[in-house]
Amino acid sequence: MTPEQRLLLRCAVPYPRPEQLEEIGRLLRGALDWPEITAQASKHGLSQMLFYTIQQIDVALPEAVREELRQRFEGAIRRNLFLTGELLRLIQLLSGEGITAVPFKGPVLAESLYGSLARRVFGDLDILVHVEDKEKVRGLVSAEGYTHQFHPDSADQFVKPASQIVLEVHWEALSFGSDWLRKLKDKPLPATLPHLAPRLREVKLGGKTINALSPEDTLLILAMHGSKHWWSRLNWLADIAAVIHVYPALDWDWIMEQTNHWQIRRLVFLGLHLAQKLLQVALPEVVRQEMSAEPQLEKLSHQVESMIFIEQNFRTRYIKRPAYFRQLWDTEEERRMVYRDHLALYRELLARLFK
Amino acid sequence: MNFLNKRLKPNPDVVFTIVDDEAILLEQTTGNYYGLNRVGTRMWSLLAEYGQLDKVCEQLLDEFEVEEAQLRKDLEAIAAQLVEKGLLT
Repeated sequence: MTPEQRLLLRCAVPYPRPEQLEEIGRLLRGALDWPEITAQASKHGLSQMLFYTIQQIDVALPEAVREELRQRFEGAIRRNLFLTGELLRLIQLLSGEGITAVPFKGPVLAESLYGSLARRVFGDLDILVHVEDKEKVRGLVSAEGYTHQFHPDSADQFVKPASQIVLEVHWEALSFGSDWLRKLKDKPLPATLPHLAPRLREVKLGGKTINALSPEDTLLILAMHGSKHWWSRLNWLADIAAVIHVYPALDWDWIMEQTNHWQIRRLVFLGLHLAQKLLQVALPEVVRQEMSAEPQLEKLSHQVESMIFIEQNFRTRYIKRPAYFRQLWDTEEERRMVYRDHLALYRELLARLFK
Repeated sequence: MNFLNKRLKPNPDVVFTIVDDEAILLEQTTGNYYGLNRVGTRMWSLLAEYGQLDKVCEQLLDEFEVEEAQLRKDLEAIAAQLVEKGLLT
């Protein structure tokens, strides 16, 4: 691992311990390729955390570097406040029409996991609604100047051209976009509002009080989401570490029950395993025991690590990623279905190559 | 103008976040951003809770080592600026 990569990994620790800060200090005093660091920080959603962490350390940095990081940091705060204001306005508007809209991801994570909208970047606004409300929401959101872009099977995407805001209205907080999974599981993933609503709790956002997902549900959804995207952005792992840090009384027994019930052990445990391995997160004994019953985690984790700092290319796209994805499922039947999907992908690829 | 006995509330069009004990505010109708210092930030948070500056003043006297007369003067000054910019109503 290069010093640049190590620095980014350390800056992905949301609440660094003194010895971790010391290590960051040592790395900062060495020779570093700053254009590489800022590019990777941006790719991994870590620009805010990088600057915030560096500011806590007494070290001389090239002035141009510090200034560039500061400008990005401050620019992102303004953008985040703007987006949060719009999110709160939309939630209020929908609530006035009797529609429950629960924000998740971006702003809520920034404020509840990092204590500030300044410390986490986000691009899109994501809200979760009941599937029965989606038509009504389409109408209301369109009347606010949003253009309907496309609708996959779990969400509508809108863009407000004037301010380039991307809004995603989900009726499933997470989807793997595969019909087979839906059929096979004979139930959606634990990511719909009827499933999550009984555990909603109040949080502060931008100075207002709103309803958000419980910490346990947040952890499950973040872990599944990260695994779905092969943990290609380190800030997703930072979010896992932050949930565990900010909510020391997480109901781990309930979380373990859920992973068994929904057969999402590997999807969820991989995030915990990586947080432990790469961000030095301490996990409770009950979790470590459950994880030790999943020997595939080590292999999955190696696959993630081999892809995390490299540009996506042919090899990652058609060899590494499918191999990773096949191991991600708890049951043999699911793994067979994924394999079948991948064979279809390869057939299509070959047909295109030899056309 | 004396703000100490008046009811003051953050303008509902303002969203804010706190970075290292200092608030950054966005007034959404104008699109203007503002920064508050440490005392101003604490005042802002307490006003949202109490809605009255003299109660905020009592609380701040407990939290900061400061003369009461000076604090009152400072709070009046900050409140006057925030009212003028439409951040407090």
